[in-house]
Amino acid sequence: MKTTLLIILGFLMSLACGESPKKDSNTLLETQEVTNWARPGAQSQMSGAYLVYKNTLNIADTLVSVNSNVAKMTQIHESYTTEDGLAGMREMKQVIIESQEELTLERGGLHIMLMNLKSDLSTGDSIYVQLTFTQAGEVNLSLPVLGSN
Amino acid sequence: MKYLIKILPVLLLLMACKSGPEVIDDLTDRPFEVVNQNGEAVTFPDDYKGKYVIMGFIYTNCPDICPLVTQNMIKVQKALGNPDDVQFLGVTFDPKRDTPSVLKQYKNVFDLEQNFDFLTADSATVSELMDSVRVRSQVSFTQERDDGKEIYFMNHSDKIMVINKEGQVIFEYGGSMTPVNYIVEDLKTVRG
Repeated sequence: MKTTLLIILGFLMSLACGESPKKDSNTLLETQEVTNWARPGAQSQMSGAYLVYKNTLNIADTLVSVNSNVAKMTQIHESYTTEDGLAGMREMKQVIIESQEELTLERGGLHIMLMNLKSDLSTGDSIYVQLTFTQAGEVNLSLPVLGSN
Repeated sequence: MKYLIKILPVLLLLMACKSGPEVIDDLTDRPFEVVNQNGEAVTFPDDYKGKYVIMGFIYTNCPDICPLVTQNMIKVQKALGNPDDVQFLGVTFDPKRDTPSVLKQYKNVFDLEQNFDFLTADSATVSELMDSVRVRSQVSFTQERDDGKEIYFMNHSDKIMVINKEGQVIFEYGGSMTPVNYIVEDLKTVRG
């Protein structure tokens, strides 16, 4: 009886010591979802900007260019995974948005690339971006610079 | 036989408690002479023995994926309460542009704690270091800036890894997309 109890005790303890903790993907560390913002960056370096834009027209529209007051060069880029599993990025010359659909520029996907920053971008600053569409024309937006740490 | 049965629980217990995470790579056989963002000489991984190291791979001209990698490491640091026994390292695979001063600028942008450093070295050393941790990178395309200067972008491995106090890699994750709590929980387990 004593031996059986010892075996059970040992088995239970081995389980307790050996098992990895259960990973709970629902435990989000992020508490707030912000869609329109820009990342801090240093002068002459890069930054990224993110936003959601809805095409409220009754026809499809195409984003053909983007500009910003804080960067000497601004482009739409897309982060993607290459065939051999590397993280890559490519320029998108245009992006089509169907009628009543949303264009989502977000981390890890389509995003605005702010290149060769004119000055440091710090948390608390705000920037302007101008999106140019073939149908809607120019759309100007102000975005806060957020640390997102 | 009776004796064996009696010691079986103890053996089971010892085996279970000793079985830490599997070692993926042992980095101790090849030290690398690198420098941090302050230009200070560092021998990797020797100088970090006795600490857990959370290591991510970046280049500072990367505006999207690499900041995500850095931010995930910052979130891990905050979730753990910035402990003294965990060192955070961002290592560039673009030493040509990522000089110590550029890395210092990058660190300042993220407003990082003291035990979060960025490392670079000469191209040959960086290349060997990246090979040893199986991080790949290659120039994907170049563009001409408005001022005529050419810039290039890179395809690269997206990775964060955990190195134990003995200089052995024990965990690897997708750097930009892995839920941070996975890394935090793994670290809590091994740190006890």
